[in-house]
Amino acid sequence: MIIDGIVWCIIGYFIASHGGHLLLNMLAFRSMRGAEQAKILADLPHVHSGLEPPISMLLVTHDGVTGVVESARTLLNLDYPQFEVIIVNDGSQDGTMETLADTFDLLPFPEAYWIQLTTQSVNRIYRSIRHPNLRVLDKTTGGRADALNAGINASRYPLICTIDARVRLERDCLHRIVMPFLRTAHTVAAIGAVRLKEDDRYTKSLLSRLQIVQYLRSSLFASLGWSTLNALLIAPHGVRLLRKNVVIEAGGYRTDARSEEMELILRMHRVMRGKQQTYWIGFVDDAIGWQEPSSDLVSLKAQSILQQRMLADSMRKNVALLSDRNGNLAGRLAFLFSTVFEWFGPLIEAASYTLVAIAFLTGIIAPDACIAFFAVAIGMGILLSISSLLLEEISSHAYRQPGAIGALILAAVVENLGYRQVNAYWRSFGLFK
Amino acid sequence: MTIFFSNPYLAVVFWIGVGATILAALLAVTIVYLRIAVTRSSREESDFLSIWRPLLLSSLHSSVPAVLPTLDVGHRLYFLKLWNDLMRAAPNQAAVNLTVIAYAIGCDQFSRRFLRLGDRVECLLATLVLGQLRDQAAWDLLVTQTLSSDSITSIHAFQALVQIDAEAAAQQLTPLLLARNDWSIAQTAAILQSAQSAFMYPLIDATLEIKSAHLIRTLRLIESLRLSLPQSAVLRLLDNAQSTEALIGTLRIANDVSLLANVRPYLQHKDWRVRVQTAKLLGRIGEHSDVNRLIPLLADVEWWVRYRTAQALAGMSFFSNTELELLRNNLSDRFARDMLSHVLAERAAS
Repeated sequence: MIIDGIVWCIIGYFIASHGGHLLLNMLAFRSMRGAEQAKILADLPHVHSGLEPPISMLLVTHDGVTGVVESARTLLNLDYPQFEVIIVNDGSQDGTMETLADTFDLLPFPEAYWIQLTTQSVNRIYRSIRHPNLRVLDKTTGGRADALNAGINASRYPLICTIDARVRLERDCLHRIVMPFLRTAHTVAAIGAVRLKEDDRYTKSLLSRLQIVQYLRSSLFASLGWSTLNALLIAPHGVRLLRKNVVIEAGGYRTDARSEEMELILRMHRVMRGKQQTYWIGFVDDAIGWQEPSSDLVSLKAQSILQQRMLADSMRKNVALLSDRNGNLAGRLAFLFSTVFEWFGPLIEAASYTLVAIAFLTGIIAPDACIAFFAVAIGMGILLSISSLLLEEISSHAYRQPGAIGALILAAVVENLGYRQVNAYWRSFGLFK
Repeated sequence: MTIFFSNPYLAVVFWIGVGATILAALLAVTIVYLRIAVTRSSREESDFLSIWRPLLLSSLHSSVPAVLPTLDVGHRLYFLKLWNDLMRAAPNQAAVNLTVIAYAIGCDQFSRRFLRLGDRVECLLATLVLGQLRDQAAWDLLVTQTLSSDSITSIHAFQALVQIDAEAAAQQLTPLLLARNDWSIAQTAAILQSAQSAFMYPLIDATLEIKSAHLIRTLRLIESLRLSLPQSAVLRLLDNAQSTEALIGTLRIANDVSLLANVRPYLQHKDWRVRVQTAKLLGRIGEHSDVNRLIPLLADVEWWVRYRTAQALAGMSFFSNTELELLRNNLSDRFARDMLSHVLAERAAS
């Protein structure tokens, strides 16, 4: 009887989880009505009126001398009427500061540095002679969150943009990610979607395609679906454009958060709901940039565990959202959904597969119950993965290599026949490590 | 299969799973179909471009060909895309040649048909092209599009109308332009830049008669177009400003020295944004006596007030760098000294 009850709870959980994600995909589909128009407009040359909101790009580096110059050059080459690039050197010991100074002709600048967020000390501020919109802050080590806060202190513009170091940006990414701010003055944050690049190396292509399908399913279109309800709590990694005054009001990035970016978005929801002001946190599904998938199982496992730890930490720090009396239904529902299906979801999934398998092998449950469970878990899982691929095909046709779509469809099936289950186990480790 | 299950609910669960798998298979077929359709469409477009692109490009540099190929009905959208792309970059005579070609193949007619009956993409492309064609016959259709709830379609219809007849667009559509908060200021200003003279008086008149919610948008557009409001209008706006935002918007566009006596009191306004705009204004049009009025703001509690005040002082033509450095050295407030050093360094670097 108890075993039957547990089995039914497990089946109910999988139906609810997959059903909920399918609903999110439907919401995402509804929001794509303007996608075809946007593609036509995106091909037109941008007409600058000078009134596009200026943006401060923040780039943090710590002992990253090999990559920081290329990243800075990429940012400086972006197509946008008015923006600045602030590199925060967070106590590097590998000659980063000297390399930056030589490459960009930096000179010390007597900046009237405004401390709006407390950080480790900023030793000196430099300005580039060659690139007037480039400044470099040289500060004492304090971690990425601390460095971002220092960058915010030095920023001149009302919008700040932070980028994951692994992301390669499209040249017109700022034009795309600023759109939610142009549509309504209530926008306080916009999250830009990135796509995973398909790995062309034959031996590893299946792994990259599995990651692409997983990313589309769990990060991209789920985020788009939630954003239509203004309930995007767990923002995927990538590019973020934030309204600076709201970030400062929320207290800036937390230095004790595992994922300062993810945690800040949750806290911004809390702050804005506490103020009972109309606000919007949008998701731009148009590809802002690209990143490489993990190249092997070891790094993929480590990344999965880390992401789950970051998610759990961010949720734990903002659990007040669930009981916030100013929170709306969408917010509470999103937090509850994320708690059950994202935060503890991997653990429940991993435990479910284990329990059902053991119960079947030991004869505790009948074969029909086992078959029914796997039919719904895998069948609905495949439906969810394929529906995400369909949304990708409708919205952007990002993967255009010959045979790519067939391979991705195959990956969407294979993903649910072992890969997803293994991923659930890895992410469960992230809850306990 | 139902007999196999000891519990009918387990059978239901099983069939949910099977149903989901079948639905997934159908979606997979749909994906493949869409991809094939896109690939076929790309191939068709390539075939179309191989004929029409060289033809249109050659017309940019020489005359219009005497004989034009027939445009298939299925290729009309490709033509609209290609023609629109080339038109945007075409110099004057080349634009005339492209227009001749468009009319010769009936582009105006099928564009108007798309506008009436097409889907969103066809409608948008037709709107862009009819604007470039300056097609007067499409006027009423485009005006209807400006009322659409879809902001992309409506603002591009507005752009097309401005291209066709800016004066008529200004007369007829200024109230709509000011009421549509979903049309971003940036994009609206970009459209109006080519028709400033047409929209100048309607926008200035709008400052006389509308409610404060639209007034702020009006002021922002006036500022973006760098239009000069008569001194009397600015004075009336300053005296009757019903919100801080309206006051700030007015200060941003004020540029007449006769207003100095009216704006100076705002240096002590409780809202720091007003103090910022007043400092900037004095930096633009202020007199020598305003230097002493600005100096106390160098020690304001708000960073932006200190920064803009320092910039205002540095921007005054009768206040040299030497005098600024002297002022900095004599200030007792550390924040004021730091800010002047900052601004002096900015000027040296620029």
